[in-house]
Parts: sequence; C-alpha cells; structure tokens
Amino acid sequence: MSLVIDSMCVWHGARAAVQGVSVSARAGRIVAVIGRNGSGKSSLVRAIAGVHPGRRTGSTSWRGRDLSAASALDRARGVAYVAQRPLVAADFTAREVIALAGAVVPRTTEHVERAIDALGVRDLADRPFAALSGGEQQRVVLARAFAQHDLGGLLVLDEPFNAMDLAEQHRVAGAVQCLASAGSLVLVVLHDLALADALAHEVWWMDAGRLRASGPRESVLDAAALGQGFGVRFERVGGSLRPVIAPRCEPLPG
Amino acid sequence: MTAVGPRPAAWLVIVATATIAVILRLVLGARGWSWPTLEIADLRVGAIVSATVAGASLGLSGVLLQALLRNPLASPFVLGLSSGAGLSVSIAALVASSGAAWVIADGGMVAASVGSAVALVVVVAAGRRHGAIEPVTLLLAGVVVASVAGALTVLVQYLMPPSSRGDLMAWSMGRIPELPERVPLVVGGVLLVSIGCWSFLRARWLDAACTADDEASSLGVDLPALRWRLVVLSGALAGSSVVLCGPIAFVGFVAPHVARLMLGAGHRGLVVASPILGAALLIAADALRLAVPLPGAGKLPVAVVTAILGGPIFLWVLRRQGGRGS
Repeated sequence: MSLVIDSMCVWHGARAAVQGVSVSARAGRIVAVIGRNGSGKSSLVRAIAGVHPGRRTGSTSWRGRDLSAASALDRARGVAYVAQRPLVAADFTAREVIALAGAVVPRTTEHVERAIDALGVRDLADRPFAALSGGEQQRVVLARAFAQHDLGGLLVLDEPFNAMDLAEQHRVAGAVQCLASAGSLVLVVLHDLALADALAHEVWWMDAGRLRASGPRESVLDAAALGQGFGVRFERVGGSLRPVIAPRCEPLPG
Repeated sequence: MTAVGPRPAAWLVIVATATIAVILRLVLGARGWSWPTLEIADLRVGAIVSATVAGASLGLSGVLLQALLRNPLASPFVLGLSSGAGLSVSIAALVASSGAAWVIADGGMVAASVGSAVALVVVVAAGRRHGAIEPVTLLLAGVVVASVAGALTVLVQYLMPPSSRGDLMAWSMGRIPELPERVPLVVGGVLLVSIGCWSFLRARWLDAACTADDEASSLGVDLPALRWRLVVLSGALAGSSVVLCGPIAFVGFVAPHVARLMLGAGHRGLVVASPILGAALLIAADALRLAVPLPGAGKLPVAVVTAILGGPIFLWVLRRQGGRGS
C-alpha cells in the first residue's frame, strides 16, 4: 500500500475530531472521503496532508516515508493540498497564485503552464485572483496543487467542487481522473455522493470521528446503508446513485 | 520561476524618485535653499544617510509586517512598534540619567528592539481570535498599544532631569540627525543590509505566506518559524529606526503600498523597492520640513510631515480594504 494511516487521532482543542482511524490506499486510485458535517472528514485529510494545526497522534506513511515526522518542505515535495476555502491576501493574478507552487519547492514555468492547461484556466490566468468567482478561484488553486504535485504523488482535496458549476465540476473531475491514471493517489472530500459514485475507486466513510466503512465504491456506497447513515433516501437509477430529495414544508413551532 | 516580471519603467521611476529626494535635501538647509558649501555638505549628507537608514528600515519593516499579518494596513507605527520602541528608549534614558549609563551604551539599540518586539507580541496576542489573526481587532490593539506607550513616554519625559528632557522630547517628535551617532548608524545599516538580503532570499516564502495557514504550510513554508523570524526582524528594524530618528509615523506603511502599486504584490520586488521608497520618503519629508517656514525660527518635526502625508493614504487604503472585506 502507498498510503498507510495507523491509529490516527486528531483534536480540536479538547474535542477529538478523529478517533483511531487506520486505513490504507494504493497509488493510482481516487479515494472519496464522505460523511455528514462534523464527522471528521476534513480533519482526517488535513492531518494526512500535515496541515492540521492542533494535536494529532498516530502515523501517516506515504510510499514508505513517515509523513508525520517530515518537515513542511519535505512534505511539500510529495503531497499537495487544496483547502475548502482558498485565501490569498495579496493582489496576485491567477497565474501568480498558480506559480506559488514553486515558492518553496523547485517548480518550473513548464509545470505552471501544464497545470493551467490541465484545469482549463488559461483565460483566467492574467486576471486578478480576487476578481474571480468562487468556482474559478477553486480551479486556480487546484491548478496550483497540480503544478506543485509530481505525477505519482499524493493530492489531497478538501471539498474542491463546492463552488463550481456543473461544467467546471466535469472538467476538474476529468483532470483528477487523468492524474490518478498517471499513478497519483487522490484523496477527495465530497458531500455529493452521486459525484463520489461517479469519480471514486474507493470510499472512506467517516461517522462521528470514526471510520464507519471503507473499501471499493460499490460496496461502501450501498443505497440502504447510506440512507441509514445520512437520513436521506438513496436509489440507484441505471447504475448511478442519487439521493431522493423531496422537500416538505412543515409548520413552524408556535 | 518568479511571480512578477522585472518592470523596468517602474524601477526607473523608483530610482529617479530617490535621486530627486536626495538632491532636494542636498540643496535645502536650516536657512532655506542654498547649494551646500564644503562646511555644511557634511551635515546635509549626514542627514541624508540617517534618513536613508531609518526610512529604509521602516519600509522593509512594513513589508515584513504586512506579510506576517496578511494585512496591508500593518506598519511599525500603526501597530505600536515605534511607540513601544520609543517608550523603551525613554525608560533606558531615564535609567541612564540616574547613573547607569551602560543601559544606553549601545545608543539604545537593544532597548528599542526589545520595546518594539514586546509591543508586537502584545498586539498579535490581543489581535487573535480562535487562533487566527483578526485584522480589525489587530489594528485596534495596535492603536491601544501606541496610545498607552505614547502616554507612558510623556510620563517618563516628565520624570527625566530637566537638563536631558529637551533632547528626549525633540527626539520623540522625530528628528533626522545631521551628525548621527556612529554606533546606531552602523548597527542600523548592518541590520538593514543583512535583513534585506534575508528578505530577498525568502521573498517567495513571503509570497506563499499570503495564503491561508494550511495552504502556506502545504506549499512547504514552515510558518511558525517564519513568523517568529518576521516578528524579531521587523521589531529590530523598527527599533533601529527609532533609535536613529525617533518614532516616525506612516513611512513603513506608505512605502510598501507605493511599491505594490508600481511593481505588483510579489515580495521579490517589494523587499527591494520598499526600503528605497521608505528612504526617499523620509529624505523628502526632511527636505519639506526645512522648506516650510514656521513663525519664529522653528522647523516642523519630521514626524509631523510624514503623518500629514501618510494619514490620507492610510484612510484611502482602509476604505479600499473595507470595500473588499478582510
């Protein structure tokens, strides 16, 4: 296994957000991390990427190297990470934001240009980052992670599709698939279970800080089990998973 | 791979601005316009050298603080660093006046650096909410620290022996010395050059530090170590400038902003251009104060000129920043 997580615990202050998670994954796969809000998905992937600022225990090894003990610089050479809500507190253009991939680790202009093409952000490249829409900003930050990332590395994405429209999601999902096909391991936190079903090879299901289930997509994304875990009915239509959203107006109390 | 291109026209304007400021100060003396004779050339060059070291230190300190706090409103004065250094030097001078002259044997360098670093630590500690720096709270904390340090400095001046009080009061309103003391000048120059070189070599780290903590860390920046270095180095620069010229407002804020407007946000350009513009601004302010006649034979304190120039720019940036959200 390329990525091995052993007895991972993560705390936010006194509260344990992740409790004793042990799981592994192979390179060349896309792993969707799912679960309800507050289940510990983001805490888990942030701890794996080494960017969780609080206390954590357990170990993470990537291709036999202990990431838990690695310096920020060493980690950045093998692992790229995209946050849920990107922040750039400077008047950079989109291209300058992508070029931050080479701020510390050595990256060439060619890496940047390749990432710009992979994520289809060439038309945004010379615009101010702050002037872009949420989905466009997310694509630019993804391009930065692509530029930082070596093929065969580990890419950690925390809810990257949230602000994107369907066309953007389609484009980015394709780029992520290409990366996995080229030998990288992609960990992606997703709320959209239909997208997880379409994109991922494997699924890790987090529930109240613990790993409720993990394994191939077909076995974890079981409509009945998901219905029980998420409190929403799911069905499979033509092989595709979809939630049955039927809003109902209920009288307000009082 | 660089984030910002070379922009030769902007660099030409920056160098021309600095040159014009130097020429202005060379031809302006205490008695108005006059080409410097040999006797007074030394004094004017002395003032230019003092203002260069102090202004460049403030400009560089401002860039480092703005990167540290991810806040374009940060500067040594607004965050109370200059006032903290001023208070610390005043206390050291008071102690020295009671017999312990060794306290300011280094010209007050240590006292000023400690004062500005303590002020920064207090402001950052007070300006954090849930582990993250909150820009508005941070600025308010800076205003409070600056006000308290300013009031305590007045108290210390009151406690000083009358014979030493005049010098300290003139220094606390900003004064560009025409005959600078050797130790603070040399130490300030060495600090400026060495911290300037370090900043240039770490410029891309400062670029990455403009992203969120987790993103910067994932890009390979050791943020805790970088932040401590920035606290110490910006404090030392602000301290060295205060020792030389007293607390001077807005130079550390205006210089990085003008540099950013001309060169963009990349720190490789900013850490070179901001010190040049800081020096140019302080030299020009010194020339301007000499050119403005006051009733009697008095001259404006240089800190008054920089505040009059810098205040409106600060308000403009504050509005611009407020429009974007923090």
